[in-house]
Amino acid sequence: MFEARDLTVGYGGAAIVRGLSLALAAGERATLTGPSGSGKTTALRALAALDPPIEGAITLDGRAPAAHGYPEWRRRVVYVAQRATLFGGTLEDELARPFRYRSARAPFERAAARAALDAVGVAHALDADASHLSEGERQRLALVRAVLVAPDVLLLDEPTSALDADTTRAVEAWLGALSPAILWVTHDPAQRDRVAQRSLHLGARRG
Amino acid sequence: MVIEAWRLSLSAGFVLAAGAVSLGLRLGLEKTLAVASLRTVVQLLAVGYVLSWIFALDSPWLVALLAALMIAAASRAAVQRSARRFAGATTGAFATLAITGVATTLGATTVVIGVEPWWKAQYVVPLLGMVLGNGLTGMSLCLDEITRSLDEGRARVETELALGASKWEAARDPLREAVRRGMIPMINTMMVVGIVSLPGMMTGQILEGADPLLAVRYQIVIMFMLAGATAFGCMLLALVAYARLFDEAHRLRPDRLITR
Repeated sequence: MFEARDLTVGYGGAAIVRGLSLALAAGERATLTGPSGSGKTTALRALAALDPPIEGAITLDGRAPAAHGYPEWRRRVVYVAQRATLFGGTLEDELARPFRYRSARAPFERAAARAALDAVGVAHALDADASHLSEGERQRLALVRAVLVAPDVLLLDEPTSALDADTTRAVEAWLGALSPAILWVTHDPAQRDRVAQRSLHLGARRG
Repeated sequence: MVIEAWRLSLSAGFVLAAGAVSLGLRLGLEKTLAVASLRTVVQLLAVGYVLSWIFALDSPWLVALLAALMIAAASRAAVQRSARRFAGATTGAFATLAITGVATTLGATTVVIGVEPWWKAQYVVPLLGMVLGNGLTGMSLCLDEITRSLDEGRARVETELALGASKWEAARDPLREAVRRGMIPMINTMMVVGIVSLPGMMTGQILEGADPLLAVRYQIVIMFMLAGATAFGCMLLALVAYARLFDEAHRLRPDRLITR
């Protein structure tokens, strides 16, 4: 179980998100919606323990990030930014990178990587240079990279924002068949209804 | 050979010639050149008198005080040259320069050159000065690179962290690149020393009439000292930056960066 209780997050002491509470059971899907600037990205970053909360607590299986160890927490609760950041090298270099970390639990498997890329419609060879990928392909590569880490929770920040309708459906279907719980930020009401059992809404910031 | 005052004043002709070129080409550099020339004369004369005084007194405490002042000035300069810094950077640079500067200088005076007494100002002050001069160039490049890559490359570092990297795993590449950058001028100098240019100290010794082979020996000692001090200086400063710019929760702390 992944939980956030009364989470208040922001920067420089100024709250952007106030009192966010949520619970995701294993494999559960929820969307996080709200107008631009309502703090969706801020909330996801805090849930991944990339930014410290001003107040409140987050737990996975009843334990806080410090108890898991922060790198272990982030391997199990993976945040995928809307804009993909690549490290340089081939597609395989990108996908295998997290397997170099001490937090990795299994060796990198080329076959699993190939299958995932095929499922999201990235046809390039694993040894192709990733710097030539389009924005949409980069976004899918970053998604696959996060999924291969085998997290318990995926925190996805508009993961299909650079994709056309057909590819979006393919990615949704692929993610839908995976085991991690997913908190999915989207602006699209139709996507919200397609991918999640329930939705959380962040209101516009006041003041 | 002693340079008499009148010969020294003749050398001003070189600067006057440069000033004339500036006037002729309307470069607008005459005033800056005049100020720079005046500063050169005043600063070097002042340091000449200070050094004569310190050499004459021959006190280890005075040498220590002067060394502390030199290290403080060098650490300030190292941090100020960088476009970004962080709270504690000057203190970190001071500690780093103190450790590397003192260790290499005293290593050279005691073990390599075998000066008696080991704190003899005539050796310690110029050797330390050279270590600090090179060290601060390398360290400011290193600091500039590490703060730039953690600021502009924040997304990259945070992507690593978000995928389960420890702070050390996420910082390793930027730190390595920063140390490499800091070492480049020193390595370039070592590659061409004696071919493209003769180092200042060796030139001075040769002009003074020293045997070139003896001057070369001193210069080799100095080059190795400088290389060691710059390498360790860059590494230590990179570690200070790492300790300050990441926290115990394995987070990058760009809020601790100060941009000019």
